[in-house]
Amino acid sequence: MGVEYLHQYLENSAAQYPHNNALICGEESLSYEELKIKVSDLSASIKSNEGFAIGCRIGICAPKSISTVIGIFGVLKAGCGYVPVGHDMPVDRNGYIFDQCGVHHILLHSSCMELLKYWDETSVEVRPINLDGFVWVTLLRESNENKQDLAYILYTSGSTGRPKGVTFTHDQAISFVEWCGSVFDAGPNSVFSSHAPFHFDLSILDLYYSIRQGASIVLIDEASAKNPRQLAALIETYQITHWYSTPTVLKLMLRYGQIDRYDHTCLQYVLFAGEVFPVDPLRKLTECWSQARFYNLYGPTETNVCTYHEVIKPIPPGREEPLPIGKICEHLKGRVIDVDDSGTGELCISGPAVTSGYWKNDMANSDKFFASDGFRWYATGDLVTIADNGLYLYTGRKDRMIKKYGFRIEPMEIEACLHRHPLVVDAAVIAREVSPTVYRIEAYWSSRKTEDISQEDMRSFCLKNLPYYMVPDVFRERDIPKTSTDKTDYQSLLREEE
Amino acid sequence: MVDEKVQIKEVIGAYIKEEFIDSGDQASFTFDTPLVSSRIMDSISTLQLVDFLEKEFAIEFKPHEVDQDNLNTVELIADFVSRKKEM
Repeated sequence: MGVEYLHQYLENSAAQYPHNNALICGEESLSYEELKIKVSDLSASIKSNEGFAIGCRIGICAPKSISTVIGIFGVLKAGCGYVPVGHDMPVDRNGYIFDQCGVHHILLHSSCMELLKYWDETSVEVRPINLDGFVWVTLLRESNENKQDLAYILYTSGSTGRPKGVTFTHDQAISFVEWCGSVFDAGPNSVFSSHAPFHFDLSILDLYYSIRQGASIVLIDEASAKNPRQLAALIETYQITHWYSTPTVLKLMLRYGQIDRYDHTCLQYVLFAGEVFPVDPLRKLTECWSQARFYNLYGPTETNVCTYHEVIKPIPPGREEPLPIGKICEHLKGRVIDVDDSGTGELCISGPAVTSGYWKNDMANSDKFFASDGFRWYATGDLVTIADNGLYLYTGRKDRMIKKYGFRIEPMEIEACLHRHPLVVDAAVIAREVSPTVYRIEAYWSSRKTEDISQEDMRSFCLKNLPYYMVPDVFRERDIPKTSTDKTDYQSLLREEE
Repeated sequence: MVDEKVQIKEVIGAYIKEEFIDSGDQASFTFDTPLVSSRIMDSISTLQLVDFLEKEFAIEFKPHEVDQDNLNTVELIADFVSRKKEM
């Protein structure tokens, strides 16, 4: 059944499988019918609030729970777009995000009230709402444009030093979810993992593809998500059939999860995305979970998954080069530009699932999107080659962006953070590749001569101002080397230190 | 018993200092330095530490015990290890 809005997936499945479990979180669960009713009730309350306007943006800041999913669908059903942020991210970053895209309201979990300190008391109104553990926050500000077709905005690291908001309409999200439906197999008896946080693009498949199929979703809280032993236990406990995460999480489960102690024959699909999966641990995992089908999914947040490749088993023992990212997803088009003599060029993607652009960020929009052959293209910044069999191979990045534990990191965002320290005069951040695809982030700064900043001070300053995964691994005060044109000499830093 | 606990702390402290503490931070490192909440140790180093503790002290962490409450400082880790050894 075709849908126009994401929340219609829920309505369709609630009609077909009312008593099936939609959501499972720890000891709690909620059936499709119950979820549908709670979502309807919440959306009615949202709409009845004073000053509410269809098409506005509503922030969501909360730990992962059943209520949070009710919140997401409630916002969508009320005709608004949701802007999820990590409840464990710094207040200043979350506050910045909510200001940048001008959210009018926030569904705020009571454990995250600290966020309200970001705004002046007189500009914030807090009211109760019929969602367990949440309050309804209204930010009193001048109304700005409302976008009726907006579904969500996902913020990702920005090379200018501030996160940028990738916007998606219902149509764009649905285009991706329908593609999932055409490639994978899942039904009302399937059980999906929801490992990624909701501000991460992997959550789109977890939430909407599973609900489209009438399947159950196991919501994995943040503490368990980092604990491979818990993850290995929970695959067995909940009989998860569809797993989706970054390779980092799978590698940790293999290395530290004691997976040989559990019965994981329930697993039918193992999907991974976000970074390169080194062949050796992948081979071991395909041997441990030999009944499952493995897919390498590739794509930046801006396109969601744009290429895919089913891992062919067994992976030959001698193979070391990473697997291809595969072929372009059927709902999209791909092309490679600026191809050099070795056949390497930048992958560009066009099609109905590609973002409409960054929220209020003309510079990034003109930088990353271009029109050609009658299509609008997104330039991924990822370098690829095409193998003889037509499959795309990922070879690296065009710019300084890196992936660490599957998280997208712009060193410039970290550098901008160091510069915000009141005593810092100059700063530079480099990502050193310590082994293939593994990076160590190194922070260097110089400060006003009379006052040194200790490494500990700088680490805690970064912790307060950056997502935890962006906090550098090495901190050192030193003079920042310059090129002849007085730009930071990153190459020299890479050579000089170690 | 008291002596044994002191010894456990020394072993754990030495391991953490060697493996996870940046040379510049070693001087200020104590048995009360927060390791996990301060992000001195990330989730991967925490797992590496658990591996070490299990081998060194012949104990076993249950899945839910791999947790900040048991691992945040050398003091807490030594308490946990001693409790496990008594079991």
